Amino acid sequence: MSFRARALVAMLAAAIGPLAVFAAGVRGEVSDRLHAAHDRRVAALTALIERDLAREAGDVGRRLASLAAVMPDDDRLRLALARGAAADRRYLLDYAGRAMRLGGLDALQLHDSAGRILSSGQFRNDFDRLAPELPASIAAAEDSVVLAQFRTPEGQMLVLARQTGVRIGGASFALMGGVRMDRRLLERFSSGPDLFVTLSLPGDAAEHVEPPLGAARREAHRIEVPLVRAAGVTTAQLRLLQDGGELPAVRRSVDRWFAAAALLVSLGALALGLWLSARLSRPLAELADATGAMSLTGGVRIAGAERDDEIGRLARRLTSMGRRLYTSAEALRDAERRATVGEMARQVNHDIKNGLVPIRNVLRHLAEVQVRTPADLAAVFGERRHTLEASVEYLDALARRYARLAPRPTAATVDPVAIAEEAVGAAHAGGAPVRCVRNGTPPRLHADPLALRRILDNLVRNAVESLTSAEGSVTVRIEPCDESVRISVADTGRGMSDGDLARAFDDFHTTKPNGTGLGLSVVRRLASDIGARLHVDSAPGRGTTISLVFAEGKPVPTALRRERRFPIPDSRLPSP
Amino acid sequence: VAPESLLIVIDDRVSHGPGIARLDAGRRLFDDLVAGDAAPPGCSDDGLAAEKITWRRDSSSAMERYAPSGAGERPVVTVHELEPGADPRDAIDRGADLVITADPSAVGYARALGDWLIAPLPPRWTYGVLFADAGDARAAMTNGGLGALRASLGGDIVPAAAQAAAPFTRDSGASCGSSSSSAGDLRRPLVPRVVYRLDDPIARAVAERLVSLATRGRESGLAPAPDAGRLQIAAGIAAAAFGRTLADRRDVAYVIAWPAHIRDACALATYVAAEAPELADALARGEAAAIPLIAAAQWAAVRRGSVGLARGPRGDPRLVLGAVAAPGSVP
Repeated sequence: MSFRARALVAMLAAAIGPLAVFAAGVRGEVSDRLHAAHDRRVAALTALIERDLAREAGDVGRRLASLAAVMPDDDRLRLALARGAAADRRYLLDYAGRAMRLGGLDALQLHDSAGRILSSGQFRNDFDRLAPELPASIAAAEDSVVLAQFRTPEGQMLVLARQTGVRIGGASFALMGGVRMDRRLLERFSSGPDLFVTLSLPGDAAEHVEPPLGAARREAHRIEVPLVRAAGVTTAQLRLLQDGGELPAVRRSVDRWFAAAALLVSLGALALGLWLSARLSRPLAELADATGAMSLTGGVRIAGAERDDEIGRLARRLTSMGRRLYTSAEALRDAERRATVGEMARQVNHDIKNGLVPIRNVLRHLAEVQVRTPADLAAVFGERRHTLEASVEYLDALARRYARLAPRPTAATVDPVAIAEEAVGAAHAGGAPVRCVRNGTPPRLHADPLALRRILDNLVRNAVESLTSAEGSVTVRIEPCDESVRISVADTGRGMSDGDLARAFDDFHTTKPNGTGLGLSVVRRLASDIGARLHVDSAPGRGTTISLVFAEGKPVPTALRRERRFPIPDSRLPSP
Repeated sequence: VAPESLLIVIDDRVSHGPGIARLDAGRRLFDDLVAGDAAPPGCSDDGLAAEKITWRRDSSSAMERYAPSGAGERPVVTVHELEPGADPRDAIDRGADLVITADPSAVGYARALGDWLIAPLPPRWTYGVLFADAGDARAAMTNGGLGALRASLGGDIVPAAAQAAAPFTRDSGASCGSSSSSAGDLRRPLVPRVVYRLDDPIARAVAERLVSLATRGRESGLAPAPDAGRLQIAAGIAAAAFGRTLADRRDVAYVIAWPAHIRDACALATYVAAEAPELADALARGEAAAIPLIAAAQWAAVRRGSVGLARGPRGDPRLVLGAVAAPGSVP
């Protein structure tokens, strides 16, 4: 994760975290307070409902009492009740309806002492029906609030009922009635849009005055009221319901405000993060890029060093470090050059020695002939003259090559057998047990003859030096090999172990006390230059065979110019 | 001295018939009460109603005036038909000479005034209950108590001069000659109810009494239904929707009125067919059943000295109008 992303995340967390805690606290506090307020409202509404019900029932009772007070004064009613006058029967049947309207009631029934309905205001033609349970049950409730189901032509009607007695003509009658307990009356009890009252009757859910509880409604309180039915007295429930309510609305409001605040804070944090990026992250990225692009071969200059803040200080430190690294690299390059020159000097010395050894051997031979058989001096000189001339020519070519420092290989068609015989002849002249063997007719090669001679000289000399006894021998074998030429130099010397074999062609690796460690190294480079492959077969005590395999007519490849570098380990470089 | 004009008020609150258009009450009055005494309207002799002028005295009433077309000895007759809901006692107080009403309160009021004669008019309508399913009729009504039920309904239950209706002289079914096939199963409402026309207080009283009696047993002639709950409530249907309700045939029973001259189920089926052909077919096939309950009549309350009441050739009451007044003297 980048520093910019970390900064943004940290800023968002730092801003939204406290905000979330604050929102949770506000929600909790508001919830507690609203619950408390809600409980107080429910308690107040409960008391109000109970008081209103009692007052309403009292009103009903007073109206019934007023009607009962004037009934004995109605002569036609008296005639109908006391004397059963047929002419006044219609008057009696209509009486309860008129009295009900006059008294502002929704139901009114006049019963005789047996419970028979004599006149019904809400159901005029329901007369003569026996319903003794209704006056008895309502009378038993006395002054308390009681609900009763009155029959109407359209069904049952729930009534907040009272009853009173009346005596006419020596007979007792029960006058009962009340006001309809319907939605309109319940709405008077409701308080606010979120708290309202419903009435539930036992039994069938269809008898609910209000619809049943919905998913979003919660019962806050219930008041039980006696309910008189034809089947007996049960209990109805006035239920205070909370519909959704203020609390969820406040919570939603708090959530909305919190979301808005979180959005604003997020935008602010984003803007701040971007600003910080411009002030901090971007210079750091530029610093990293500059550090990554820092070159140890040129000047070191990191952008931002002119700043006076931490970024500037870091840039200056990096610039200083880069300069130190540059200095160290220069020293390393100088040491490399020095090492290269020394190697070259050693190689030149080695090559010159290779050219001088045959000459010295020929001269020693001529000196011995001059002392022992002077007469043969001219003949021996004639025999060895070719060796002298070849060595001189070799040294001359070597001198020209080194004179050019980076000589290009000179490709020419050469006879590998002739060059091998020259190398063997030169070694044999020194008394080395070297012999040359040719198998078949090897094809001519297209290669640098000097490089090939140097390769063979080095291989033969190494082979001779590896011999451990006088019986040892060195064999140079030239033979065709898959349309090419193979020249192998085999000795019966001490051989090489696996460790020595692995490092045999490394520079300056030698197993000889006075060796330079450059012989096989030079062979490796020269073989690579002329496009030949080297194969080594060696075992301790069994000798070594080094084979040089050419491709017939293969042009001499251009020597690789390797630019020596001083690589700096990646771990020491600054991260981008 | 015969009056120069007569004001007749008709309290015909209900236009009976299952959705049938409101009848011309004034012309019917002439047909029923006056035609025997005078020539019918439009005759060239000196009869009444040579011209007819209709005007509205106020927003709640309508009038028809009948004046003799030529010189004669009969008064100009103005017929005022009360709007539904108007109190006929107000007409009595405003100087009406003749009030035709079914309102017992108005009749009682006129009787209490002392100078009014009260005479019941011949029954004009028969009220009965029409069961959409004849099986319901057989289950709900017992023949043994039906007479008592008719008698009780003819008392003080309905707001009219009512008496027990005579049973049909001819049953429905094959005797009606119906050849149509059955309409299939009936669709029953969730709540079994007795339906009546909301603007008909007589039908309402009958329906309410049926509901009240339905739970009491055979004592009243209306037996408890075997499956209980039939005739559970009474439901008033607006006049405009009553015909459609009948045609739907989805209720258990309907309290309807039909003209008193219809005396058998087949004639009733023909009468009902105008508004509810399916129900009429069912009635003709005997799948539905109608039971006449009461014959309802109005009263004629006549101010003494204004117009005479006499019996017609068939014993029906007739108005005896006085001397003829000059046209244009109508108040």
